[in-house]
Amino acid sequence: MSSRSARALLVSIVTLHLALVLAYTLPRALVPGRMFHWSQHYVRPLFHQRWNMFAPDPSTCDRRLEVGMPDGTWRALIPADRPYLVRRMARPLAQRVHDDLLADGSLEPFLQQAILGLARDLGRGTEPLRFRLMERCVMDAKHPGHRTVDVLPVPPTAR
Amino acid sequence: MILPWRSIRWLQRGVHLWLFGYLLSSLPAAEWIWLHPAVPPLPAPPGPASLLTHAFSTWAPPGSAIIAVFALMVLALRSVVLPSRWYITLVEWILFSNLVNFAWLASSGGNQLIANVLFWMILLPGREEAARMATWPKAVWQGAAFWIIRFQLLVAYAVTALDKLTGTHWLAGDAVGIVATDTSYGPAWLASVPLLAAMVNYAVLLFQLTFPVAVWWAPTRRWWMWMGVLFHLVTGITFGILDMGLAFLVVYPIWSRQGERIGTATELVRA
Repeated sequence: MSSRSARALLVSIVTLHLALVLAYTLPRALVPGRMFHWSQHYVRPLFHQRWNMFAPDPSTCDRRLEVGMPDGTWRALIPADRPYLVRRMARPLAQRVHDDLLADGSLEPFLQQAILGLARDLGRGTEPLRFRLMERCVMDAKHPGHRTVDVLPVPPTAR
Repeated sequence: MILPWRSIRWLQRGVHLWLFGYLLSSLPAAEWIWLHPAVPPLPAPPGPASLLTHAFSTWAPPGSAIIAVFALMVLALRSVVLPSRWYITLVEWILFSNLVNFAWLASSGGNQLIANVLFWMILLPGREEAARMATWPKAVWQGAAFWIIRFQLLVAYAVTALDKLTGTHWLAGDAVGIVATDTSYGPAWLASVPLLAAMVNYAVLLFQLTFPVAVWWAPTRRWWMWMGVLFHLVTGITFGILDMGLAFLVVYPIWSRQGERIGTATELVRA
């Protein structure tokens, strides 16, 4: 193969890969339908990536899950003394629980398993555990420090 | 095509060191994410590739994830010191992809960046002679892998910046204040100085938008890379995502001047 052909092949491979990765990661509105479809088949299995942290906007609510203790008090489902990789799960888990509650008021089975799994240090009682979702939401983006607090009950989950 | 060997070698060392450090830092959480995962794995995507990348949720025996963690740590440490081998990098990519997919709720963009870079590192040369003397077809796949890794870094910055331009709070200068007052991130005091919060807001946006352009020229590359070091270390420490910040920084050497010069912090200063 000539040097020119080899270079053309190299450029084609890189361009095709780059185009499909961009079609997979760019905001949906910017990507033609067919390119988006192809990118799902090519990128999802081996090259999955998302670059939308705080994008297009940071969430105006911070949420955390809490679990009811036998004495009637509440504590964070993932306490601050857990290792950092466990603590990191708190936010996306609370977001998924919030989305499920808003959609139809119940939790997908894997979310139920997840919150039960994270509360396993509370032991194996017979009573269903109680969970709730705490939300602190910005009301005015110019004054983000002032947030309203809401409590969303999470359906009881049998152990 | 002659590939810049020193850039490649520093990339290989950096990525392998990151892998070792990340997995070492995951060990205190092993009980929760590797041994008896609190969060069940998501269903594997359709297609045969998932057998390779979602083994722990399909066919691998329970408890094998922690074995993969230690095996990957050993292989990564080996490749920091000794020349990379394509078959070892292939095993590393398979193990790491499986671990990321298994502990999906604990993973970050840094994990995804490293998994992607690691895949293309399989095709990079392991020795200097191989980088300088490659002929067809090796030269094509080595060159493609090199350029795809380079562009992968730019894609991450460009996509997040463009996404932010489609929202409202980044353009209005309010985004950093919102993030700073979120109890998961901080620092909350930043929102009490609105002018500073707005300046940081636009500086972040400008940095992410211009990085994919600035790295093409040596004079701007040096400054943007230092800004990147500052950006990733500050956000990494304040937001508790240091592993993500370091994942970006270990890929920087692939964009060194002519690919030949920058590898260490000392060389970054001179570049």
